[in-house]
Amino acid sequence: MKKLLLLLYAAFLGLCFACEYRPSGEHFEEINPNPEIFAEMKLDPEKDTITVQGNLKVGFSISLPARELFGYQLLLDGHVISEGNSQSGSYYLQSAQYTDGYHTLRLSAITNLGSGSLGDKSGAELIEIYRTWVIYIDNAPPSAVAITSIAPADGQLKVEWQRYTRMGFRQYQVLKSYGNNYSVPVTTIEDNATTSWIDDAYVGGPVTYHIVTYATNSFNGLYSQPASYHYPSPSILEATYTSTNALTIKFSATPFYKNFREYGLTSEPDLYHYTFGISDTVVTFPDPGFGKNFTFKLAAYPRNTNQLPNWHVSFTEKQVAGYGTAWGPFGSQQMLQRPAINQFFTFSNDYFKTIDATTLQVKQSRFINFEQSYLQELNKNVVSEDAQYMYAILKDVLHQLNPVSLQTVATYQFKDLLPHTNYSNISIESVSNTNRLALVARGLFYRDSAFVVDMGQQKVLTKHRSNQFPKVASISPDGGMVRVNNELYKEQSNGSWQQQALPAHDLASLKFHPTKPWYVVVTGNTVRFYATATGALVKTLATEAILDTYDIDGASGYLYGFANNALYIYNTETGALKRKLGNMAPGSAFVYNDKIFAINNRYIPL
Amino acid sequence: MQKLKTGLFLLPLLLFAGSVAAQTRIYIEPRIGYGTFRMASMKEMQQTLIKAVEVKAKATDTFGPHLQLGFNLLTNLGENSRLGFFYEQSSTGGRIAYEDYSGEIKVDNIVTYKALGLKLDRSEPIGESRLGFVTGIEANVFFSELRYEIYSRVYDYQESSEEQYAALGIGVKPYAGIQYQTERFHTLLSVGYLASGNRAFHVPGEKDQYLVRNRNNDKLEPGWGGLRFNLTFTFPISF
Repeated sequence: MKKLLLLLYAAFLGLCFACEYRPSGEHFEEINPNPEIFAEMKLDPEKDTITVQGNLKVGFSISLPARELFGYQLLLDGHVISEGNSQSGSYYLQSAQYTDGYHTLRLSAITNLGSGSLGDKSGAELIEIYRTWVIYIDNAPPSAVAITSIAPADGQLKVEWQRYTRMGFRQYQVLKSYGNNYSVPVTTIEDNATTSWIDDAYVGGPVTYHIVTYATNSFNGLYSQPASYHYPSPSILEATYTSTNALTIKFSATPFYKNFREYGLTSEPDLYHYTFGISDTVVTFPDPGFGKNFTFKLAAYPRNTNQLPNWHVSFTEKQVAGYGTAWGPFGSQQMLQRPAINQFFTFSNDYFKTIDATTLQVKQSRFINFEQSYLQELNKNVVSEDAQYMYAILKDVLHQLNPVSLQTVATYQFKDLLPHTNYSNISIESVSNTNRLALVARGLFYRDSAFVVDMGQQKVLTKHRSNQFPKVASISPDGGMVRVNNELYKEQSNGSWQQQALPAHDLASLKFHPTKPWYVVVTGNTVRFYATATGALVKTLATEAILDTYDIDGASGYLYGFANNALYIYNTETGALKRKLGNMAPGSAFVYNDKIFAINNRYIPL
Repeated sequence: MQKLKTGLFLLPLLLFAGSVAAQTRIYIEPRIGYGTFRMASMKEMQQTLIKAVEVKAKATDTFGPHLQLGFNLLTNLGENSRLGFFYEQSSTGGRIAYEDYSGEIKVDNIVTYKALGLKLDRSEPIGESRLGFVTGIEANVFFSELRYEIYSRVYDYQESSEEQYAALGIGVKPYAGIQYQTERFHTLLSVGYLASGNRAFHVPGEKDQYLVRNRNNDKLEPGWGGLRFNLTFTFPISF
């Protein structure tokens, strides 16, 4: 019995220890091992490519919502330059320690995966999040930009240049020069992206530009190579005379229509033409003026004059010959025309010459070896209207010359002709067909007198004092009337000379007609012809203008005079205006027979 | 503690070994029980643990009911009543489990007790039959043990640990049941309710190093209370 109980007891105890509770159960969570990563990495400055010159403080920030940052590294080209644990910070980049060019900056952060799994919570799932930027280091010294094009654009001139891409840009400056090595700034541009400029003052001609770049890391401006441009300035292409001797000038236009203001075509002193029309390039001067050559200047003027002092006008010049047939030149200081023998006389310091008025060839020439007075006003040589008598003073001696051969036929001393011996400044003024010589001399006490000397008798016929300066004395062709300044004397039958009463202003213009026994007076717009014998009015001639300098051509009988810078030629018989030429300076031409002769050695048919 | 336990186990042997005068009757009663365990503290501790691991772990086992095994040793106190000792032991356990692709965590808490106590019962025959109506009460000391097993694996890295804690407690269980009596042995089917009170689990030998169940540092103690169904076989032994 006991054994049984012991057995039961032992078995029972054994059972007790066998059935211990074993906990059970499993729980599996489906976790996404590839969760979406939300992270943000920022750099300050916020650019994908950062250009650095010198030193730069780079700031960064790492944003990892719902994640833990285990550390960051900042790497430049794979080398760690900074590391730590904070989610933001900065690094002072000294770019001079690295080569110029492109580098890679990488910000790398270690964080947990954030899957929420057991491994993630235990820190066994770590990931690296990174972002890269491009760093461009530019520490080289700055360099100038180049001008890339200068070309017409829309009627103006456009200058283009390279953009300055380096760091520290401040401004571009455009310099302009017209080739005289003197450059002037014409514009300043502070926008780096603006790389062109319109020149609104260019209308042609040679021009040179520079672009100067100013940068903060360069003390001086960086000058580009000069770039030149030349569009030919408007120039005269053609100068032609019409059948009526109007001068037509054709010139080339400028294509810079937006810059253009006007053309100016001038030939000083008389011819001017200004026009605002860019195509107005044919100009006709109906009456350009006879007897001279023209120097035409053409310029195109721009609208913009604000580029002063570099506002430059490019002139082109062209010589245009005057019209008419050339004759001479004779270099004379004095010229006389004597239709009686169809001959011209020219007198200069070294030569007397006779010229055939038809062939215009020199017939005779006499070398006088500067034997006349050094005072030009005394060097008048006289020939009578009928070309019989000719006188000249050579070496203070009065010579009578043969009008055809120019040889001396006789000489006279003034002391023999004049009442006193101490006359000075003698000038012979005119000689009549009757060999009466009118001369003016200065006597004692500086009183001037006019003498009429009968050269045949070598006797003074009359003498008149003159207080006026200059002194004029002229004798009528028949010898019976003499004008001394503004006094007119007529020889009386008893040999005395009586002063004629004429209005003063008439006397100022009085001339003796070369072939008819008249004297001529100009009063306002009227020319009056009086008979020298009676003083009666023979004829009047109405003129368009008040003739200033006038003369009568003995060959044609025409009266020609100058007024208002024009030459008027009148037919004294009919009173008609035969010809009018504009732009004629007084005394610049004379009429002989059927031609108008310009003193500058051209002639045209009348 | 160990000595006391050992002593208590040996007590029946003493009863056998000693020549006790007079004819006594002792009853040896192996018994088996089934019942629930309250374990409120332990369950709270599990929830605290779930929060602490930061993953969506789940308490897959929450100290469910289990068999209790024990035996009684009684002697007659009167005609219908008996007094004696009883020994019982049982265990239960809980598990916090979590697994995902990256690893797993398993925290097993196996709580066991050894109970030793006094028992008093009274039986009344029901009419002329062999059935009897039994009522009784038990009072015991609980010697609880907590085995705290942690296993974790993150990818290839494994870690496990096992810790043991002990706790003392007392319990009282009134019960009633129906007994079928024969000459040689009896069978009792009883139902009762165990009320228990326990001290905190602590490091063995160090009462001050106790476990807490939440962030407020409330103590972690087992809760053995609950409904009990017992099946007891009685073997009377006469001397």
